Amino acid sequence: MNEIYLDNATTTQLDPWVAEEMRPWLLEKYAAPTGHFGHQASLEAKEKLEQARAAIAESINAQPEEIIFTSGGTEANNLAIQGYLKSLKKPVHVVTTAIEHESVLNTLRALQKDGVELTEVGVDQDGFIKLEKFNAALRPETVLCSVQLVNQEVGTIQPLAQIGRICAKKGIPLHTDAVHGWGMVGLDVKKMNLALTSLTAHKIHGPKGIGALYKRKDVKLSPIMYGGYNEFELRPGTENLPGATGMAKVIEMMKPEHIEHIDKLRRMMWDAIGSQIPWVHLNGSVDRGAPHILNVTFDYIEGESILLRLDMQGIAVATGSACFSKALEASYVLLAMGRPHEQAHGSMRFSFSRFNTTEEIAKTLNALKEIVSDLRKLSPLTPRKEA
Amino acid sequence: MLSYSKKVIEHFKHPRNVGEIANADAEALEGSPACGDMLKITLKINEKTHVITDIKFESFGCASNIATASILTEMVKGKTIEEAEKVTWKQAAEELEGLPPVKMHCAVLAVDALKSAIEQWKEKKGLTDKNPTTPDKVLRKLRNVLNPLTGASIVRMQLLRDFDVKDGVIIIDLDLTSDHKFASHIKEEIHEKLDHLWDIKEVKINFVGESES
Ligand SMILES: Cc1ncc(COP(=O)(O)O)c(C=O)c1O
Repeated sequence: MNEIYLDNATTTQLDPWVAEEMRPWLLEKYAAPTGHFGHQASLEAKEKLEQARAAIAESINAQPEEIIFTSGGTEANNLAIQGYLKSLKKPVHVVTTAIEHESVLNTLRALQKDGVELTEVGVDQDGFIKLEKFNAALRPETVLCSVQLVNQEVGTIQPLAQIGRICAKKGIPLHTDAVHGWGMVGLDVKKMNLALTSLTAHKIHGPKGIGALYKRKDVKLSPIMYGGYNEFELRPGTENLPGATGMAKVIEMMKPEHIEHIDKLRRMMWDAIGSQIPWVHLNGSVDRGAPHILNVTFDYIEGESILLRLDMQGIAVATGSACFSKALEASYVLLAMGRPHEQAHGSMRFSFSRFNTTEEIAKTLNALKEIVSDLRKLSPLTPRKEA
Repeated sequence: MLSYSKKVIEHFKHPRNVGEIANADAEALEGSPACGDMLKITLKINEKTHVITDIKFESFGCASNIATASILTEMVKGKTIEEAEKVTWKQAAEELEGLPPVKMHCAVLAVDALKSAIEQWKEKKGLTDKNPTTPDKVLRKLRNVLNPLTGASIVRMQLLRDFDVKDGVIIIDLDLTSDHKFASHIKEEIHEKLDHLWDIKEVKINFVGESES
């Protein structure tokens, strides 16, 4: 395992306290939460599941019966989009953004084959949705909008309250993928006029494989999988009680001082990179960005090389470069922000958690300075005079 | 991270023959940063013996890009250009104890850059007559077009159904549908390999594969 883990936007370390909370439900209290007519153990499990549901509902200002447990963010997004559109008569039109996670974009693109019309609204150069474009994209036959809370690559926080107001005025249900942002930035389904909201536990020190979909009471969904009658007949399968328990604990553990700490690390890192390394660009926004994501382009060099060199020193980060082949594009998020391909290829994502320390940031910075300078010496693009 | 051989990592960490030769006898710049891959090679060539006395490279690219360029400079330094021209991307990859399939195109890029530089030198010295483009030459070039995921040549993958060279026009029929995931990528690669040939006016690529559904 890497000594310094700065890839927390991909997934995070499980909080030991969360693991502790889950333990009895894995080892001793393993009964399924079947409901009212089960044996004692299953009743206890049911009660625990409902407690978890209530805690998660409270965290976003929702009612417990509006929370459907899923296997994670991907499934929540699929259930929200497919489940909602399935129940409607065609033709329908959906508006989303060009920088959504694949679990939203690819779901919608797949549905285009079934006659769903899709508009992917662009973003500005900092990665924020163009509100006037969004407004203009809405049509009388628009039945759903899907706009993420926080972008997974550049960390921009979308103006959801504003978007919610626009949608509410036109009576269009709004779905948000809040997989990034839940527990980190403000999320209130009432204030933001949200009809559907996707959550996952593993981005904030919860277990992988558990998530939830918030579905406002008046919104109708059809199931997208068939089986038993669990989760309000919308999501069959034996409930993941250890996961749900962990997910509820995670949100309880998240404290304002953690967020402050994470934000401090991000600002410290960007301040240092910006002042000590030449030819860098911030992708995203310091002040309108989520506390845990920093995305930087290092001109004249390629992301995978930086990643590999950091990896050799025990530092884990992510890159928007896909020097696999030309066919696999550089980050579509950065391209949507109007970055040229070469800048997208040189982009690195540093993402932080409350378990990171300022010493780790200092170490990473030192390593980074050397690596960037080394690789630039190799590059035919580096301006030679100043180098 | 992709799993790289020790040798790739070694060359990536300590690349040989880095830089740019001042007053080089030949040079080539292949690829582009937009594609995430770019390589510059400069050469010193002894005019009498044709021996490559010095070779240097610069790279904007991933680890494999840097490593393949580095090993290639070692492989051909001290060799004649005629020997160097015979080095294939497969040999370069083998010399590195293998490359992941998705990275094979890096070896192709390195070898192409070297060949371009040599070709340029030969042209300068009047050593090449402008031979007309033959089907054989086209086939040789097409062997260097790879399926990006498997790293195998489109010729070997039997994606090349038919091709013809006539009156300065190359026509290529590919056994792929035009909406295939890699159709536009492969098309672009073919154009890169063939468009610059001096006697070719046009390269036409047809997708003649039958769709599965
Ligand atoms: C914005 C966003 N949405 C959805 C997902 C998918 O969530 P999960 O991994 O829980 O399926 C991710 C992360 O992987 C994400 O970053």
